[in-house]
Amino acid sequence: MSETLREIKELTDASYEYGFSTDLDTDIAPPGLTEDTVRLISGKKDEPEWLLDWRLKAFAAWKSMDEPDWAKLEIHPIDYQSLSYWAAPTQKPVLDSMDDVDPEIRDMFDKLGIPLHEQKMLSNVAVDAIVDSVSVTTTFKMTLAAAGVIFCSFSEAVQDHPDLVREHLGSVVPVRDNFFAALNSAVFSDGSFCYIPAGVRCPMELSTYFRINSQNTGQFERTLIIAEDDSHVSYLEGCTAPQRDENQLHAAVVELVAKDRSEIKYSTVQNWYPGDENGVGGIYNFVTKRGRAHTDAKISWTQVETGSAITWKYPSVILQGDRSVGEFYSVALSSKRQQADTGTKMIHVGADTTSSIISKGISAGHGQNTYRGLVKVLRSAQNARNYTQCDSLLLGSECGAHTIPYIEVKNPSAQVEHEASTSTVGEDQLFYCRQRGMTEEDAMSMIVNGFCREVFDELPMEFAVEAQRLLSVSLEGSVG
Amino acid sequence: MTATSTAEHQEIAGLTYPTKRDEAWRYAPHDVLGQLSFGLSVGSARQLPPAFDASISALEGPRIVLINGVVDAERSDLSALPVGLRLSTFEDARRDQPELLAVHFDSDVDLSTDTFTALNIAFGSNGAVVHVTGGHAIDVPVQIVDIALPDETGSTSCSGVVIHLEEGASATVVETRIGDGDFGGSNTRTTISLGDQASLAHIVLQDIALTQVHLGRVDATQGAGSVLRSHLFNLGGRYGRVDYGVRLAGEGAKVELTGLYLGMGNQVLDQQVTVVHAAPDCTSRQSFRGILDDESTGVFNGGIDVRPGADGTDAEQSNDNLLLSDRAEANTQPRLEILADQVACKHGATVGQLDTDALYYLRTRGIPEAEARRLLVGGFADQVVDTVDNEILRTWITERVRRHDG
Repeated sequence: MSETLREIKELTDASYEYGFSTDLDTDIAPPGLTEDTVRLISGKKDEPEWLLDWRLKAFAAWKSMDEPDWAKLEIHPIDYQSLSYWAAPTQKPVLDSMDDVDPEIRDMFDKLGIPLHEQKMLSNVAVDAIVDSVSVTTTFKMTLAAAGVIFCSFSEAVQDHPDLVREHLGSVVPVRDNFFAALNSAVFSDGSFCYIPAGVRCPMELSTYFRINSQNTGQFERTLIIAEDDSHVSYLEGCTAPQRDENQLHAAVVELVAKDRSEIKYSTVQNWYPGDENGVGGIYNFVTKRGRAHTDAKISWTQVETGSAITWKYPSVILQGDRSVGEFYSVALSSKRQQADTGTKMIHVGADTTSSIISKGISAGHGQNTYRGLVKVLRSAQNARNYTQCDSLLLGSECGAHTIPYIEVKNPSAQVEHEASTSTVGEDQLFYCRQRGMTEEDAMSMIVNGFCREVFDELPMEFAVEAQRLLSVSLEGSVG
Repeated sequence: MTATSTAEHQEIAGLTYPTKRDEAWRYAPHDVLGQLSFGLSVGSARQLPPAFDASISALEGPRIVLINGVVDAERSDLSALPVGLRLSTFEDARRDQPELLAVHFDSDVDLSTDTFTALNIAFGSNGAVVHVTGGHAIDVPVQIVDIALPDETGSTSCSGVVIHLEEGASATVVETRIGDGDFGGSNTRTTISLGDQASLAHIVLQDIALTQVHLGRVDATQGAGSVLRSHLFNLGGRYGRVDYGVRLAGEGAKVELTGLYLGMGNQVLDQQVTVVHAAPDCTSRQSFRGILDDESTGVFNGGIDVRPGADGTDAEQSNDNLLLSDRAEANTQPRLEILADQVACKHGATVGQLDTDALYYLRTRGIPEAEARRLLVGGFADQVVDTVDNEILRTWITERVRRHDG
């Protein structure tokens, strides 16, 4: 083993800094999934009849579906009956201000670096924090309300804005879309809801923070963002989970609706617990994210995926309206025994639609990283344009990098380009940096960050810093 | 045994018929495939169309001709073989070179998932063996012609080709797959093994009738320092498909695969390629180009598979498609699967239409639009045709490609 390899190994063995768990009094449903579980969840949340019916329809659909097996992933069988589908920290039911939040939860978020205290807040970010299944708090509600923006937990939205929820829920990701989306539709617990009225530019970045705390629970949150005509919103999402030996399931659904001339920018830094170096524990992350862009609208997905034992995620854009734009920027890192099968789908329906895909995959340790993407140009999509670039970086000899793009073009005026490369960090590059006095780790970090720069540039500033840091932590000891 | 349909075979042999859910068969016309039937080869009672005889004799040199999976001794030419070349039928090889046939029939292919290979092994008992002994260079191209002339609608013939070049040998083999009839077609399988430093130029011309189906498979294993250059011209068939599986097993082996597919009418032309880098310092190049007119569909599913330990791999792949009609369709899936770290792999894919600027340029020079289009399309196709080194072969191919260009 060369020195480089040894260092790579050391770096990948770095520990997970968010692995603590917090002792919260939690209201947990007994394990198992039946129609009664669905009714229980719906009942706990005091949901209207139509939503229960919708959930039950999804549950019936889910029962008839099989787990997808086409991804390049080795998954231990998941026993859906051994999971608990409802876990909520018990606390005072109604919160008047941030000070009423359970101090233990507040401490937990402090440890995570989430600015829940408005007073302490430096950045202009409104946060909706979700622990296990339930939304704990939403900050900056007043400021947002003044602009007409609705930003609240999904449960609140169901109570306060039922018409909006009813109109859009499942309109982008139908209940039968796939196995995990159907499961989520049946048992989703909470999530974020965001509505930007016509012509409004959301005055601050919106953010959701997800945390799985309880043991043996699945987290199934649902995010719905609606941007009316001529509006604009930037949305951030972060995730962590405690270190546990069992695999925990996370199956979320995110739906974006971008009406005419609006813009939604959705950024994710995913840092769920990845499991240890032997592949024990870690989050199974099966996520369905999709947006529909109407005329002249733009949807942009940016993701930095450093966590999870398994990532199965393909944020997509349906370019429905003429001249709509879809973008996908991704950095996916798999080290230790992590497996990531991730990419995007760009479905060109309208004329003059444009999509671009920049994907950077990094494999280290025993990690397996797969880019899987679809660019589909329908007959109606006159003059559609796509550019795809997928680069993979291999740091070590035990890891794998795979690129599996699908390109389906049914309109001759389309211009579709796909480029991909796979390479390694050369000994000569490292030698050059070390010669100039950099430590091997700094050199590696610099090279890897340079490799990812096109994607980091798309992230809001605070997130970009966080992402860079995460990447170096995740690669710590793993890179030479 | 009489001819039975694919569905019946599936039941008999426990085979799974591929569906749209199988990655490699995603874009195939499954309704058409379902109507094919397979059975033991019995030859044909029908007269060979005169054009076929002209086409066969257009290329001089030794040849074996098979009609419906049975060797046609009259049209084959095994006389005056150059020193070092052994060209024989499966029947003869069973007696003289059984070890070569063993490689062909003990296929590594997962038969439970590849129904048509399983059927080929079951029914493709006839074929041709090209064997070049150590160090000999065979200058004259060896031609293997497979003709599908079904007596009954749907019947699909099976045959095989075995090419074995010993250490340091070199040869050129041209495989022509043609046919005539309302339906049915051919299912052929070629097994290539190249000894160390051997070099093979290999051409596959798939030009079956537009109403028929061709299912072809080429498996190659290469020794150290060997070179394989294979050129596919996938032109004919309602469904024309060729699967390549190349295994670079010896250090420093090189493979260059080029392909051209020209679709018109409702043709579906499908190329499935996997190049496995199993040894260090091997080089692979894949370059496939498609021109799709009318309602035709082109499929390219090409993979570069770098196994652990195959350091120093240099692999490139490209697939470019030209759509000439509003209803034509291109599906491309360039895959990279990499499990070694000292590698340089690249792939690229494009789909587009004729460059309007180039068209305009030609028209300003007084070239009529139709002619300008022909020039540009021809130029696009020539980039593949030009990779054929042998001039006689290049002229012969150009002539056949032009017929499809219209």
